Amino acid sequence: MKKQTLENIAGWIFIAPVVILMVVFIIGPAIFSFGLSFKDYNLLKPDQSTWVLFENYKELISDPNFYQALFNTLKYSIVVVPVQTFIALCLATVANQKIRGKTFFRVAYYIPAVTSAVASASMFMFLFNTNGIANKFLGLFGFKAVSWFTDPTYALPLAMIMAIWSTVGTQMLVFLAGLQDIPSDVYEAAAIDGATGMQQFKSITIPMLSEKTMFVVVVGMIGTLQMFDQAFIISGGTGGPLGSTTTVVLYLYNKAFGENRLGYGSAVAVCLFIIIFTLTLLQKYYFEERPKRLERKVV
Amino acid sequence: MKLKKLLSLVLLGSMVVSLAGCGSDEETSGETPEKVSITVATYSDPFEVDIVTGQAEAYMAQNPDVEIIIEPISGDFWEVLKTRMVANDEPDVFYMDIFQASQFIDAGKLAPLDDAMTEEDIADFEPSLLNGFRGEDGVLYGIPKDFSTLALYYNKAMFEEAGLNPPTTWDELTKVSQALTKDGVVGLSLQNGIDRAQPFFYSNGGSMMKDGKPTLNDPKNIEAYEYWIGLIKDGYAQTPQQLGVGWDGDAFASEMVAMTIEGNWMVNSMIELAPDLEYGVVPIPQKEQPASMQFTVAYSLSNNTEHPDIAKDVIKFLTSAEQQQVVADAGRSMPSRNTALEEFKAKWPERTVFADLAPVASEFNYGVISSTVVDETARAMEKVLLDDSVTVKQAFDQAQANIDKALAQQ
Repeated sequence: MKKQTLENIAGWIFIAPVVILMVVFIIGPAIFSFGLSFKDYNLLKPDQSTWVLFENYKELISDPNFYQALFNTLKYSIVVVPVQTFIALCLATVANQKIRGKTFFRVAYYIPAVTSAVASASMFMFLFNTNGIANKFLGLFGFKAVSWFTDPTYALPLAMIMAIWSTVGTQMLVFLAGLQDIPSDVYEAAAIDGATGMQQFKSITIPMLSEKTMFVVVVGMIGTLQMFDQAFIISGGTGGPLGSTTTVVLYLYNKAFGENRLGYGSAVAVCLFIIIFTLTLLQKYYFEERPKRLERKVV
Repeated sequence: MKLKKLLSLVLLGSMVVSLAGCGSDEETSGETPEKVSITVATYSDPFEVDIVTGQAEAYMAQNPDVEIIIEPISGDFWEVLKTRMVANDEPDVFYMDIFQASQFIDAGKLAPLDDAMTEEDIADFEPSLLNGFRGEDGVLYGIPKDFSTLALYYNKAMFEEAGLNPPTTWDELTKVSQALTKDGVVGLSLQNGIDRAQPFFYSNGGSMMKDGKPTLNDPKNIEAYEYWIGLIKDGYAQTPQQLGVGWDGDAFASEMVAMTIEGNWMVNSMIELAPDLEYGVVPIPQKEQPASMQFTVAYSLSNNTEHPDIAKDVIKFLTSAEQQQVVADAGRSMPSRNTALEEFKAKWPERTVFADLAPVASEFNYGVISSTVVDETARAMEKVLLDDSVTVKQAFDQAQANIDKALAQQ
């Protein structure tokens, strides 16, 4: 055998565990679910399933509840992604300074990321109930106490707060790694040229972090578009109050496992996949092409 | 040297003995037939698991050739059960909630249990408890293990202070709630959902099911819900969420409300939440007729089990008069057999009211699309509560249309 072939075989053997896991638990089910989306498939009566081709999709595009779910999810994503990226960047910058006890801060910011969703949910229930600490604190500034869990205006913002609180730590870690990759001589050179701290941050830190930012934004967007836990916890699985916390994934979960309509749920999942895939491609184009365009301009 | 030899001899000897021990073990296990294992899936609540574990041990002591494996399912029990059924990997025996039963019966996932019960056995169960587990053809697919009903809890001190008696009619309930709503206390805590409001529908002569179809927008139901929501909108009643607590029990235990409508499970919660609070329990105030609501859990048998006869015997044992006694003694849910229920009443006299409500308790069961009915009803009730421009009739008609649509898709 050629050396090249041998190396290829060795390579496949090395990545086999991951490939097998991916195929069995991610790619396989995804393909299966894609097939299900063209079927009328009752979870409890798999033997009576029939091919209905595009019926599920036809129903989907005229389903007002799906649009509400989609709207809620996009609203959630549009708020959460920029805010969590910004906060994560700020925290990373702070945690990267030479200050006393920085290890403590790094750990403290990261703890929410490893806290179980159920534990953080009970904490939020305690903090945000009508007589809770959050309302008391806001009351100091003259805000009226609101019912976070039952008022349709505040339930989704509460989900946003929970999500930001729990994901900022992970993203901070990514930014922190990025910050430590930036060579210090760039900053030294800038300092010699008389650049202020703010200028350095704008012209060195942010551009040199762009890859990390791309990663954080893309992962954040995918994560928020697939939001489920917070909505499930806040509404007890119903997506209430008044459907204000019904996200796409919660909607498909209720259709597939509540109403046993696995085919319809799969159609929702495929739509969500198409949306996420398109948005990710757009972002990739934006982040990869923009520097090139800028370079061309400079030349 | 000598010592070493001696030591090694002793060691060698002990090894031979233990080897021999192994050998004899193998021989005996070879003689007895292989054990049959039956898996019983329960909720993950430790209180339940303890009861069933004790019962399983009793069964295994009598039937040494059967091994019962208790499998508490945490998370969403029904989601897990459904997905495992798709994979043909479900437990042999599992809990079956009256609310979920119809869809499993309809899909043919449960085995008939009629031959596990004699006429005498059947007569020992309240018919309304068995009905929810019967298919359209009358075949029995679940044997109730316990049940709970709803009643009105009231705070004795608050009633005495105001010189009031517990209400028995809707008019009295309005008056009493109004009188007790003062000094930061609200008259009544009402969880705004079908699983608390339904007794009002039935008391008003309404119903949730006709000819096997959900009938949420029955005019009598609408009228009853208008009364219910009126109490809340007038401020004499509040939902636990409006009060800023998790559930009725918290509101009642912390004396934010003078009354609430809850099930017998709250008696146990009160022991933990407020052991010194003096309260009484009376039937839910009525309009035309007395009404309550029952939540029943049964044991069902998988249609897919390898050992149907043994599994059936396990269910028979778990729901036998003797084992129902264990449920009665535990005191949280009520035993489903009348004989054991009498014992329950004798042992827990203050909980008699719940047991006596069984004959007038409507089922928490709306056919194959139960979960859609509950969700749609919850949405409609929420809409009426939060949006003053929506009438009960509009909301219920809309929900009924969605329910009918979902039913057509089954």
